[in-house]
Amino acid sequence: MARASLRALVTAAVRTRRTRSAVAIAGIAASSLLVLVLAAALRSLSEGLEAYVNGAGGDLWVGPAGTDNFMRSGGFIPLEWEEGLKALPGVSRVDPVLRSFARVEAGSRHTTQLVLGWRGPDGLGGPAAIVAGHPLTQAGEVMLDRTAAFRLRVGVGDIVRAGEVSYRVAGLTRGTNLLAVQLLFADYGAVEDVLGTYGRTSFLVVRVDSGAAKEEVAARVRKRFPMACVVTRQAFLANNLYEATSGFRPLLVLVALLGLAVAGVFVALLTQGLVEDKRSDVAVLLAIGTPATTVIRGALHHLLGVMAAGYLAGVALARATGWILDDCLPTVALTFGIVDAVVVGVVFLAAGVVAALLPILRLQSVDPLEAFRP
Amino acid sequence: MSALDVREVHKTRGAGSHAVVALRDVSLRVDPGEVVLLEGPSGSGKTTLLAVAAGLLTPERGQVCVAGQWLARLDAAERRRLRARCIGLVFQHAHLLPGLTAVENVALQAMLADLPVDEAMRRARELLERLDLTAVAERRPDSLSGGEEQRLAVARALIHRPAVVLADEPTASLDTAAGQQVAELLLRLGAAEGTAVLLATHDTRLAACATRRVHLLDGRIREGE
Repeated sequence: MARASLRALVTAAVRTRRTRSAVAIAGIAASSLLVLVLAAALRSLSEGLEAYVNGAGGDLWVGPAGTDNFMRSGGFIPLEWEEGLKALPGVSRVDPVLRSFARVEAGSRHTTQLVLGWRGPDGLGGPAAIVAGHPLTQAGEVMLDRTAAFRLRVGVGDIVRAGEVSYRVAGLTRGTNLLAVQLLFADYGAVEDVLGTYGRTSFLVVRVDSGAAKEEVAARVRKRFPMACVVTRQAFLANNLYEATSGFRPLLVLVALLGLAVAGVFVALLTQGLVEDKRSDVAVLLAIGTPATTVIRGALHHLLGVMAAGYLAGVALARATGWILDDCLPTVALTFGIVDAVVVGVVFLAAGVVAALLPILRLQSVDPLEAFRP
Repeated sequence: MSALDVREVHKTRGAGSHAVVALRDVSLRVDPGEVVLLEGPSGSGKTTLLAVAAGLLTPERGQVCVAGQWLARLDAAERRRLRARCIGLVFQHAHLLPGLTAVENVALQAMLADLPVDEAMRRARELLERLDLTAVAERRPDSLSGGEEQRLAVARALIHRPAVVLADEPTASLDTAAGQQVAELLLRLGAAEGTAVLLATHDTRLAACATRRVHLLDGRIREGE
């Protein structure tokens, strides 16, 4: 089948050897996969936090002074503040949440969980999505994140131990995996019994009347309880996200930049190879009257094709990896959105074009006389 | 009007202590349909003369006129267009483009000469048929013999019916039979189209095909029998 235009012919003429292109595509795909997986890991963490905080039903989180997140919180507030909060104008509902870390065991396996005790199943502070089983119906039950259940190799109805106490797994939750730790939901009274924190609680979760301004209600809470730390849902989410990611975000960015650099080097090597490999062909093209701009466009067209193929292969691999992990090894939810993919694609494209610029421009310096006597 | 008119061209190659005078006030006319054999030993300036005639090298002195257009009056883009439309080039090695099929290699030159794609492809297939190369039309150059490649190179040089074909030792890399076939093809097709042919060669057996022989020695021209 003949190619349909002069540009298509010139592009085909300056195309690098298939093996070289395949290596470049594989390199760009691997780099894309690396960066997308890193982005997806970060995204899954933020999505887990968002799912929990937004699904918990609270508009304000009230905790001890200096405690604006549950990732690294300490101390307690008096549980009696609950009644004081309920009495404030604009407050619709208040529920306590107790948080603690606990070593959870099943057989020879164990994992550390961030335990949240709440007044299930309708109380504020509970899980947003249950993917298996049912909500808590009695004190001896817990709900595990599906990742934790996988790690412990337990399912609905199985028994896990925390401390010296055994609990039955009533349900599995989703959107509660924070990578380093997962959320375990238990009955408030049961957690209170284990911790012995009678009369005290970690947070009071406040729902604001639908017509009330959250900031105004927050100001009233601060005025009424000056020793409390009061944050809105958005601020609570942002604070938790910061606490969860501040440790490895620089590493993530560094590795992502290295992935970009590797892809850029691949593209640069490809273009350099193109210039050297195709030097005599470019000389012939120029000698027989092909405009230099057409040759450069052809080379760029080919390189963009290689970059696009590599990038799309990387996206497909990342997506496939996410699906496979979700089914077979749900320890990390590799979820990335269209925005992530587009951003990574644009950055890769820009990096590739910058890396290719100099070698491409060198095509202009090829002397058509080389066609006569190489 | 001559197809190619070279007037008192002087050209130095290299620079400084490596500078060599390649052409010394060379004058040469090639008329339409004429086949001029450019003979001379290596380093005599044959390739330089072809490159100057193609507008790829600019002489220090003298004038070159191709198809009625004086190269000195053209800018680089105009010279490139003139090369694409009015000049056919055959190199020592076929220099077919390995990424293209045989027919695409030939059609490319016609497209550069502004022929529509369909017309270029039709003319390329027709030319391959005349050259008995239809069977290899869709094959890539790396699967062709040296003779087939060079015949395709000749087809590429002629497909756009140029005013002049400049051929640089087109038979040098071929065996005797293939070389003879390529040379006869070039001269026969060129003559049929009224194309002027300037053919640089060491191959004395091609003399019989030429209408005129020109000898180049140390950058100076000498007309032969």
